[in-house]
Parts: sequence; C-alpha cells; structure tokens
Amino acid sequence: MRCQDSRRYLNPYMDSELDAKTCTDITNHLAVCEACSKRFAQEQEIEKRLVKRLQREKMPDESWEVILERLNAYDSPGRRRVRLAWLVPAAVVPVVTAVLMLFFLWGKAPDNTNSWSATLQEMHGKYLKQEISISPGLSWPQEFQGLTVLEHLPQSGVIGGHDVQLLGGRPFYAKDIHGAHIVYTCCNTPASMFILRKEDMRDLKRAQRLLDKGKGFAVVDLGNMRLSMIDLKEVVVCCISSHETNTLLTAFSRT
Amino acid sequence: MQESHFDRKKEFVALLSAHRDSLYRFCLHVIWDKNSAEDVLQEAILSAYKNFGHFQPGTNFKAWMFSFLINKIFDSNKRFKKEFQQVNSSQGLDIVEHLEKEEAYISILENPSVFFERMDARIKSALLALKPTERMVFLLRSVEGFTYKEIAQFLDLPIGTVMSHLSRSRARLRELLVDYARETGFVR
Ligand SMILES: [Zn+2]
Ligand SMILES: [Zn+2]
Repeated sequence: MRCQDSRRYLNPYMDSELDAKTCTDITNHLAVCEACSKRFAQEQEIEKRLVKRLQREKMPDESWEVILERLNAYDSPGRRRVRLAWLVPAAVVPVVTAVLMLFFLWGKAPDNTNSWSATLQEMHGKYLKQEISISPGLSWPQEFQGLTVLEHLPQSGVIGGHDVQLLGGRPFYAKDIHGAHIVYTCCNTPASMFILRKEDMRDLKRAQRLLDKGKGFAVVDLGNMRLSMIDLKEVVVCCISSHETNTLLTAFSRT
Repeated sequence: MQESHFDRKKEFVALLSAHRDSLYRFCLHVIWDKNSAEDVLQEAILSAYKNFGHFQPGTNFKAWMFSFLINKIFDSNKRFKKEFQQVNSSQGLDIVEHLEKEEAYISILENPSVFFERMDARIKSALLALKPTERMVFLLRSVEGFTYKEIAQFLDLPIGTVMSHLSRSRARLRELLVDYARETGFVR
C-alpha cells in the first residue's frame, strides 16, 4: 500500500469503520511507515481535543426540571384516556373509536392551530417576559449567512424622528418557522423584528396576499400588539410591537 | 400486562437521564439558539415518551432517542432537511490530501496543546461556520459516537454519503483552525 492510499482511509480508520481486509492493510502500512503512523496519531489527537471541547456543554439542571415537569403533566390526561377505554363495554367499539379519535384530535389541536403570526407574537412576549435572551453580539450560524439583510441592519440612532436602539438578535427555530429575531426599541418601546425567508414561510400565501394588497407593506391588528410586514423580495421582515414602527420597518428596505 | 404509568415513567426517566447531556449539547450545537434548542428537545422527549411502548428493552436507547430528536429538528427547520436532500456529488476535501495550508496545519499538528489552549473560544465558532449537514454528521459521529450505519439511518442517507459529509466537515473544521491560527499569529 502506498502512503497516498493509506491516507484516504484516515476517516474510517479513526472511526473504526474499516473492513477487516483494509484494516489489516492499513495496520501493516502503519507498522512500516513512520510518516503515516505519525500523521494518523496526530490527526486522532486533533480530533480528540475538538471533541473534548464540544463535550464540555452540559444540560443545566433547570432545563432538566422543565423536562420532568412536562413529562408529569403529560401523564395525567394519558391515564384518563386509558381508564375511559377500559370502562366502555366492548360491544360499542365504534363509539370507543370515535371517542379515542376525538381525544386524538383534541390532543393534537394546539400544535396545528398556531399560525405563524401567533408564534411571532408569542416570541415577542417571551422576550418581554425575559424568558429568552438576546445576545448583543450578533453571530449567525452558517445557514443564515446568505441573508444580506442581516449584514445591513438599521443601526441605533434617530430614524425619521424615531429614537431607534438595536439591542441584538438570535436565530430562532419555533414550531414550523425559523429565521432571525432582532430586537430593537423604538422610542423606548420594544419591537421584535423577524426576518423570514419566503421559501420557508408556511403561511406565505396569506402573507403574500396582504403584502400584495398593500404594495409590499401590511399591518395586522393583534389586539394590544400590531404585526407589520414588509416585502423584501427573498425575505419578509415582520415586526411585532405595541408601538407604531413603520419608520423602522421601512429602514430595512433601504439596506 | 398492566404496568403502572409510574413505573414506566421512572424507567423512561432513568434511561433518559443517562443521555441528558448528549441530547442537550447535540441540539444546542445544531440549532444554536438556546431557547429554540430547548423547545425542540422538550418536544422530542415528549414524543419519545408517548412512543415508549414501542421501545425494545435492551436495545440502544440513545440511538432510539436521537431518532426522535433528529426528526424534531427537521420538523423545526425545513432547510436542514432540504439541504440533506440536495446531496452534493462533488466529494471534495479530504483531510490529509487536501489542505493547501498544509504547512501551517503541520505546526498545529505539532503543538496541539498550545494551539487548543489558545483557540478554546474559537472551536465553537468553527463549528458554527459549518453547514448544518456537516455539523450534524460530525457531531453524531465524533462527539456522540454513533456508527456510520446508525447515522445513515437517522438521516435516511446512503452510508457513502454520510462518509463524504463527514470527511468534508472534518476537513472544513481543520481549515478553519488554520485560518484562526493565522489570524492570531500562531502560524504564518
Ligand atoms: Zn505511509
Ligand atoms: Zn418610534
């Protein structure tokens, strides 16, 4: 075996995934080739250190507590369902089926009825309640890096008479949508801006209809909050705030 | 057989607690945002619990649990799934052969402890710079120790594709390390 051939097998060698024949060949080569055996050992060392660094992350106890609580909460309706099925006489199978189906549908409903605007509103609410933290240093995972709008966010300052502060941002993945969540204050009122790729928007048709009607701009009244949106071709920027943020939102289109 | 819910849950929690850190860090390293990661993880755990009746005692609980987690991650982000489907045929990048920055890389290989001490904070940024597919495959294999076959099943990919993703992610990570080493003057 030549050095070049042996090195092609470095990955499966490190992962102990070589077939018996190749494994013997490699071992034989490493036994006689100092250069390869040194390199293989060094690569394993690098890998080991990388892994060790990444394994340092541990689940915080608070997160574990939440999981246990959710498991406990899940158990109660589950037990009721079983008991109900036991109580119904076998003769009324269709009824049982209908009841179980109802339970099934009822159990599933909350996840599906949540539209994206409700999800965005919920996230803004979580920010206000300080349940989510926004990091001031904006660093985005690779999958966000194609979004030019993130590189040219409106910065703190006075924009069209409004006192705008950029507080920070984070990537988010919630229910069916994901994107970038950027938090500003406009005239001291918090405003969550969500940057969503159109191709990722599940309810795009509804949003697009609104945006088309308003020539690329739309406002939806959500009671104590308002959702305003602006169409920037590939992305839609949505804003949830109790403040009137049209000025801030249009600043995104100038980027 | 009427096993009580209480016992079933105790059993589930016992199995789960052995892997809590693995599940957490995988989710966090893939999704990146702590809040979203925790939401996705909770959903995955609940849905595994609902299906716990199908778990075969004595089989690999960690792998079973990860299959729920990966599905939830895909549900939460269509882009991840899409990227896996658009498999890149260009194998590209092999750890050893490739590295055009070979010389700089050699000095990292020669002084790993100094390098890693100095680069500590940058390791996570390097991971962040990988595509989600590369990140996932690397984490599943190297950090969590799953076999190629298990990873292929999780991601519904041929083993060969898993291998090329893995080889690309390892090469990319090393390239990034070299970049950081250059930036900080560790190598020229
Ligand atoms: Zn050799
Ligand atoms: Zn204002």
